[in-house]
Amino acid sequence: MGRVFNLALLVAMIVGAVVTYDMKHRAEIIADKVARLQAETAEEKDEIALLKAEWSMLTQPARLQDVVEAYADHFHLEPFTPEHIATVQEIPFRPLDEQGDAREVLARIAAGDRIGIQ
Amino acid sequence: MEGVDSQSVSAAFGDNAVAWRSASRLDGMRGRVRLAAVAFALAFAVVIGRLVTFGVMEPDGGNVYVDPNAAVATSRPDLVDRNGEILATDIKMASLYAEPRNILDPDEAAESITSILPDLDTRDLRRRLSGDAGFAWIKREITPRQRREIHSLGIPGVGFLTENRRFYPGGPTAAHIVGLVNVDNQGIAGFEKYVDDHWLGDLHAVGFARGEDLEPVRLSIDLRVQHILRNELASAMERYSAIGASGVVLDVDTGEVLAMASLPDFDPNDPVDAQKPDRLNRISAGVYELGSVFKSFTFAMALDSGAVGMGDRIDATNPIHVGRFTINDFHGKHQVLTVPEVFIYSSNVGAAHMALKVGGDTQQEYLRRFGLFDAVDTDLPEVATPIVPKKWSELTAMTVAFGHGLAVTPLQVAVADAALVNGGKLIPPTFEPRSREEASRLARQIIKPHTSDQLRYLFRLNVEKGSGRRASVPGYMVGGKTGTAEKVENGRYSSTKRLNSFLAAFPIDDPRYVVLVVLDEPKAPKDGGGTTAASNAAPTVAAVIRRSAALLGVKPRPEGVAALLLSN
Repeated sequence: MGRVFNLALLVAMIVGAVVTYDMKHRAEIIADKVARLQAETAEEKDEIALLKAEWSMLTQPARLQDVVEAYADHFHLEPFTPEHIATVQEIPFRPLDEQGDAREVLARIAAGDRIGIQ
Repeated sequence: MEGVDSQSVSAAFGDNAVAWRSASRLDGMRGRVRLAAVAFALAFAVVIGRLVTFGVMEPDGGNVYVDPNAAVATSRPDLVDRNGEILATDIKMASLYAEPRNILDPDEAAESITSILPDLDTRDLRRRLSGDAGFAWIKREITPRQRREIHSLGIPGVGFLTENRRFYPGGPTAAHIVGLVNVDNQGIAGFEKYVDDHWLGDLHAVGFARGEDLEPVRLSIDLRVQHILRNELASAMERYSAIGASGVVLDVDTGEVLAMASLPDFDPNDPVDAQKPDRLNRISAGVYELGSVFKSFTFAMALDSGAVGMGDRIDATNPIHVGRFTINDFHGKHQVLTVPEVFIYSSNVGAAHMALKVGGDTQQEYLRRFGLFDAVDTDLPEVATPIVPKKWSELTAMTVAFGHGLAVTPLQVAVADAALVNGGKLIPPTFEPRSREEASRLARQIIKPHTSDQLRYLFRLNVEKGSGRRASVPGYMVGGKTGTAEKVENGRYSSTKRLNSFLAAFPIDDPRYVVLVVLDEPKAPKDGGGTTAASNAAPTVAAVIRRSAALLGVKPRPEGVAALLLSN
């Protein structure tokens, strides 16, 4: 009886030792990983800061103005004036293009003609 | 008991004694076992207790690799504008160095390094790597990618040092607001210095804020408006061949500075000429006799004190002679003028008469109340104190009425003007975001709301009919006042060197922003035109408003209706 009990204790001890060692080993691996990830995060953060700085340099109003001026002719760009600013409520409904009466236009749309819609 | 054998008795007793003795021995053993059990139990309890504390404890980063450079580099918070655009940021720059003593094969090392840094000369590099020196820089400030590539080459005896470098993506765009740092990353000018003086310096002194993440600091300026202001000032400076140009855009309800520029300026990334005397911040750190824009204040005090009414007439027929001085009008009408006419014709004689009606003492009291006698209270460290005449004679009173004899900073003029149009509340300017509630706590009533209405009418009239016509931007209801001041040269007023300014508010029926532009010594443009503020400062203000109003959230309106509302 006593012998069986002792044997069980011995086995339990060995198992305990193995499990503990395994835990410790895994913890070390994870700690290494954490350290590596932290280093990587720091590096990524630095890189993000750098990219942000670069983005902000590329989107500087001064630079954008130069770019816009350089391509103004090509893209027909023009500065907007106060008349160009309005709210949706202020825009009147677009009058239907008169090409015959409405029924005729609807009939043409129904027939697959897209001239009526602009 | 008689019949009992004594032997057996003794035996019985002896047995008993043996049994007792062995029982007591057993008892002693049991006691020791128990003692040992308790000791072991205690020991295990301690172990378990420790395990529990270890389990509960936060892991400390003891075995995490700490970069000694990161511990040395002092970090600063990013500065961002009101929309979160970066104005100033830290970037970590790696510098590549070598320990030639530890390099095994200089030829191969030089070869592989130049494959990544092609701008280095291979032969020169080989020479530097092959010595017996302990340390040699290879290249300062390389990019992270280059760093990674060199790192993966695995050349022995080559290493990196990283340091924080302050970077200003906008370059000179907001130079005077953002300021500068020195080589140790300490703020030495502008908002950078303000941040250091207020909390960052203390933090660094006790050893915090090293390589940690600091929350970005938000400023009140709008980078887009800032660019527009600077851009328009630059083109005005070129067009009118001025020696300097400066301007400020201020929120009239909160005192927030939306934009402030002073040309010529400097690039904070390479501040070689930041210390040149002409690079000072003309808006807050320079004092000037601003001329006729001051008439706004004369009118404010005259109308507010009741010395002059809107319907009064002022005799501006003749120049005023005081001692050997003569006060004359630039565009002399030589007639009796109504009060609004004095304003729109910018009559010096009329303004002088009004100042006399107000009286020197009341005039001083009002100017002090407008904040024009003291240095303006704001976040920027570069703030000049006005130059106030020691003796306030009648002549002083008259010249100050049209802006001569009292030198103030353009910033405080813009702040006082904001008070004139916002209903009479003087709000100290700030470069940090501020809510209306906060602003109204700081506000000081300096004139009656009714006076403010009258001044808005005068400002608008001046743009519709007076000297400010070229500041008009259809849709945005600009109101403002020109100022053409003669500069003092060798102790006397020069007739050729001028300081022109235009002080505007828009939309004038419900003002949101004040814009002030000052041009230093503008000349007539090559394609003809005048040299007064009406022909250079006013159109510059118009250009700034035209381009920035939509960004500032001011909706254009047809002007007829608004004008009708204003005249009521």
